[in-house]
Amino acid sequence: MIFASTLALVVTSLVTLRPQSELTAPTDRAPARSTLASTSRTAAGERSFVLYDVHDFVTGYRPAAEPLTAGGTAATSNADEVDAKRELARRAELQKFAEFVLARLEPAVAADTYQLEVLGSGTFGLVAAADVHNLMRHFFDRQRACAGFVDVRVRIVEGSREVFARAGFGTDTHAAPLPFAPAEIERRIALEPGLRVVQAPQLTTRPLQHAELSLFDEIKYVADWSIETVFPGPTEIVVPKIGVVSEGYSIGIRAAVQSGDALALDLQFARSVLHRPIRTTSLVLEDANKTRVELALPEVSTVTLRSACSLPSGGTFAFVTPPSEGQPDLLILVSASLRTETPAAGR
Amino acid sequence: VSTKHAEIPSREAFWSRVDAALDARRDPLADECIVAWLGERPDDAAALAELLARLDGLGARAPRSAARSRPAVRSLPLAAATVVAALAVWVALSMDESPARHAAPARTAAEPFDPRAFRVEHCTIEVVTRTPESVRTTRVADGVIEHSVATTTRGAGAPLATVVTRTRRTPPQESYP
Repeated sequence: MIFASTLALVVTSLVTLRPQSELTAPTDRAPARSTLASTSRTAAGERSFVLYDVHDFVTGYRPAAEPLTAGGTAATSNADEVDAKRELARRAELQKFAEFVLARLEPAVAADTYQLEVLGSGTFGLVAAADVHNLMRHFFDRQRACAGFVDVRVRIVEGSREVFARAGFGTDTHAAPLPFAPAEIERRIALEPGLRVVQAPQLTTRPLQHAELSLFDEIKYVADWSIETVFPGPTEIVVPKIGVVSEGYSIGIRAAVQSGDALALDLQFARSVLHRPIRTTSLVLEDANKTRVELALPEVSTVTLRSACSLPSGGTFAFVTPPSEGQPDLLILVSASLRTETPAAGR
Repeated sequence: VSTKHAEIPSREAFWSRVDAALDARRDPLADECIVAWLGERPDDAAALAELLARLDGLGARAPRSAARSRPAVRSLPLAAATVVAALAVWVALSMDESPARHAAPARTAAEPFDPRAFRVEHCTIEVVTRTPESVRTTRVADGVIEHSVATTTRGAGAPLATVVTRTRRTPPQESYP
């Protein structure tokens, strides 16, 4: 790690530092294709360091901090620590952002042809050849020039693998592209009685901006008991320990506009379900009264989906959860489309 | 045609006129005003054609009994309604010059997406079931499925036992399901 950092500093000191305004300037350049071709011929092999200002894509990100300890003094002493954690989270988010961009350059760029330096506060540096910088510039220009919004809709459908196959959605646990328009997908779901849409969250975001939506219920239960000796008395009492399980879903996306009709998508989705009725068990405590108490044994199933994919606007990927003992099969349909009108309020 | 159409002021009046013709055991399509209305209302033409077809199927339509002596004319109303409906729909579509229709042509089910436009860089699906006694995990990462079970015994202080089994490899999908 130290060696890598040292190498980065050496490389950085050897290359030319260009002003960041070069990459944030208006897009009044020659056609990208001819620009890239000429640059590749003249500057192949030479690496340079360029700063990329991406405040407009990442400054809205506000990482959640740890809850402050109760009490004014403790909260004040923890403020610096909280700020430090937030700064670390921002840098991690910026690192993910830069990696997302680098992975979606067209044509693809090998990871060993560049070196990424996250500098924090909405800026990162890249040591790479001129043609890579041209690809980056072209990529950012395209995202900033896009006047539209990206709609991502996730439909969670319960059923069985047989029903999924019968409805034409397949049963492949790998991402399967669906050759249907969104209306046809709705029709197939409506016509198949064995399919049930349990959740259908939708997010609308600008290109490259991260969007998140979480909706969870917290359910408390008696997880354990302990025997405490308290005053007045002294006397022994049994004290329950309360556990919390979360039930709901969260979705996080980052999308980019690519050439043609395509959208690149980075998707994280999670859904937790508490199985009902909750199992219970009883036990006898070793207190003076030999108290019999009950415990809850909640069973929570969580399905997590993480994927990076590209699809045409209006296209849909289908994911089917792998067979898991005692769990129903889930079909996860992810649709993305680019639209030009302003999203409705409250979405 | 338009002067005849002017005699029916509203959709309610149109359907009242159709009902009156059927109640009187007359063919609604013999009424020029109804035909004129249908020429400008393709939705109503389709609905009327469906209604007449159902009545024919039930044997409840009066002109059917009258037409029994004239088999060649028996299905004339239905055919006429179908032709009128098809013509009206064609005219309506050909005259629709709204910007929305040309700006964003709807993709139909018969027009599949190009499979080459879909690409998956990586994909991980994980199903985790947690209970106080165990954690069962099934994970699919880029085609490789793994099952693992971690169990613990309450109060025994036993170390967490984990078993990981790699079961199969799924080749990347290259065609539509």
